[in-house]
Amino acid sequence: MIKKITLFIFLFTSLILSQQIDFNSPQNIKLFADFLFCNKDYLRAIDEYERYLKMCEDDSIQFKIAYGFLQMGNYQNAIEKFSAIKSNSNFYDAAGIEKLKVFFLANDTSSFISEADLLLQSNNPYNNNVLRFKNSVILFTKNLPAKDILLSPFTFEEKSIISDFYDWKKNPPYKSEQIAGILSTIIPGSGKIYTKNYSDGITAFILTGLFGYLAYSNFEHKHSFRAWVFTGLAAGFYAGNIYGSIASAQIFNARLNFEFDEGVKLFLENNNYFTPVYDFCK
Amino acid sequence: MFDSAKLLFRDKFAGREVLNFLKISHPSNKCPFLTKHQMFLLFFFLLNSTIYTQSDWVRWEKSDPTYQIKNSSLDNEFDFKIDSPSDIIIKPVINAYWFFVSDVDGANCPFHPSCSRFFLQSVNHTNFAQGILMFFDRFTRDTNFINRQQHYPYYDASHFYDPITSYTLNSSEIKYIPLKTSIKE
Amino acid sequence: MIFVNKIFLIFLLTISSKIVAQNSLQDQFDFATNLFQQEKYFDAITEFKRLLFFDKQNQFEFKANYYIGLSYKNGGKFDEALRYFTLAEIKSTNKDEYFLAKSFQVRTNILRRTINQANKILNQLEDEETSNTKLNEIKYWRGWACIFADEWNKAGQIFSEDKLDTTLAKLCKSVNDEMYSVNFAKYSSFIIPGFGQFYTGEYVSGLISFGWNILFGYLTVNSFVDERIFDGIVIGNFLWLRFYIGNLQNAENFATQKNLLISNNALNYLQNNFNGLKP
Repeated sequence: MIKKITLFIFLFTSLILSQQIDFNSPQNIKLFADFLFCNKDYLRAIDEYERYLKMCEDDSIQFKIAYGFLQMGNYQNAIEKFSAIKSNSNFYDAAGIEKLKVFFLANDTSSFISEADLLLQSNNPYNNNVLRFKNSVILFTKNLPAKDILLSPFTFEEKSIISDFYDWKKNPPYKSEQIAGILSTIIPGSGKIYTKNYSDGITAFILTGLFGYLAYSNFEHKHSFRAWVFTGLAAGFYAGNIYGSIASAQIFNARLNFEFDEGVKLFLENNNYFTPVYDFCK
Repeated sequence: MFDSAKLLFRDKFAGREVLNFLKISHPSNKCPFLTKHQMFLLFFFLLNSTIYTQSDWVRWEKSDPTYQIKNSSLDNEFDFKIDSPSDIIIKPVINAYWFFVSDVDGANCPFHPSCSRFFLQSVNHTNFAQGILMFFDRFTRDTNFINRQQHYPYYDASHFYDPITSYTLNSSEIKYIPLKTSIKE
Repeated sequence: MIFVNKIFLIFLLTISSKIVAQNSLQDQFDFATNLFQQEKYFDAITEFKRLLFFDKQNQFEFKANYYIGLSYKNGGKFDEALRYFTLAEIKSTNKDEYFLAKSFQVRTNILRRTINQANKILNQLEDEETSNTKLNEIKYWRGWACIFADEWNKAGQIFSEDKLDTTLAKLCKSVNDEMYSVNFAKYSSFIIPGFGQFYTGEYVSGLISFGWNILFGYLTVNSFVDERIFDGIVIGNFLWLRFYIGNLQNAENFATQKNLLISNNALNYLQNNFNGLKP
């Protein structure tokens, strides 16, 4: 009995221990690479996957390499690797829409649009996603199509948001540079108040008024030199205030544009850029 | 409007679908499947691994630490370069101003670049007349001490960032920076 | 008899396989250590991680984590280094390993200039340790923590205590003697504008400050004497006060800047020319 138990223990431990680990076998390389990949240690994982691909063919690994580059923000390599995935692979369709995401994140709108159009002509199962992605990106550009065409691929809830974006883009609540300039010409500072820079507007009014008054009072008292200095300063503040109001309107509009762009980006991010979610690390 | 968009979409999964085909091996894949033992190992290590290694996304080499403390003081450096006719008049005046006044009258300017440097940069970037207008506008904004944090991003702990590119009246040059962010490092 | 032989055979096989398995791990460890010694730290980390991944018996857990920490530290990635030194601490199997992991946490924190964290760990180690050599090492790193916190006087005291390190003690003392007193610079300029600037060797700036303060002080007083109250208030407020405060700020700034130069000079020497144990 004791003999049998010892035998069993030895066999059991040997089962766990006896494998001589071949660190360079394809399986082990892949195992280790998967571990690195799931730890988001993408660069090391990619190095290991490349070693693995030299020994075995595997399209899922090719896809993961490309995906790793995308996660690291290495867009050039990501595009290269996604493009290398062959058309008979299970990952070909996913690679197509991932490529769109790369172009978008790399701010390459023209490549994005042409790639999206190419995809839409093909039989990609994600074509609805591609269309939604493309129509969201079109919001960044200047040439908007008709509203119902743009909205058509979206779900009901998405439609209300995209519709808001669309209306904004068609009629952005900009402040007019001309109005700001004219207002400030009539009443110093009012142009800044129009662009919602209230305290700057009041300051501009006070400074112009103060130096104007000083100039006036010095002319009254016949201090001609001082009067001309103050006149110059008052003129400077007056002209500067008109100039500044126009600049202020431009900055106001730049801020609106920025917030719009961020809003659309956030919408896309929250929808995962209409790309599938992959479960590499279950 | 865009904040509500953020809330709406936090919990939504439109366009998301989990791909199950990863587990299906393509016919062209020529590697044998994992052994049970290896699966166990994988499972075990995935459980244990929560380490996030973003610092290793770019290969790095040995790097010696620097013991020295970083010097972060803002100094006016005298500028003797003459690039345009207007520089012949402006630069000596500004250098003299920096030497005799600016360097000894304390830290008064809340902005980066400072008013005098802003003036110099705007004259160089545009022209003398426009530079003067930009300077008067800057001086007006400099005098206004109310709610600066609602108009300018931070440059460092004690300065707001207010570059000339926002004021050249060329709207394509404006790079809007969100408020309450710091642009320095 | 044959049965016994079979058991013996199986026994032999299992034992030998165990040895082989261990050997392959040991080989991997040697390979990784070799990369580490060649200063190929990024690759060394990959190999140590591989070792950790396949080391089911956790024989190399401490060593691999410790070496990964060292590699990150040598690559200037202090946050990562600290993470792995902490892992090494958790996986340590004896007191020496524990102390090693902890002391490297201290050294990394010193280099990262998170001195409070370093001191916290040092306090903890001091409570736990009894051996004299280790207590001396703790003290030694305390001294370095003070150097990196720019407290040269305190560092000097620690190094001179029990002749812990006479070279460092001497260096710290000389740095401390060289330092300007920021408070003296500031308060002397409080009384005589420009004095603090003279004290720190910035004579031109001191003279200009002195000149402006005399001029605007005179104009302010003069206006009040002539009963031009408005002018007096304007000149006093916008000119005299401005240059007076500027004078105080400059005196303080110059002293701090000069001290920074002195500190950096000494730190530079420590980094490049000091041959003793460094953090």
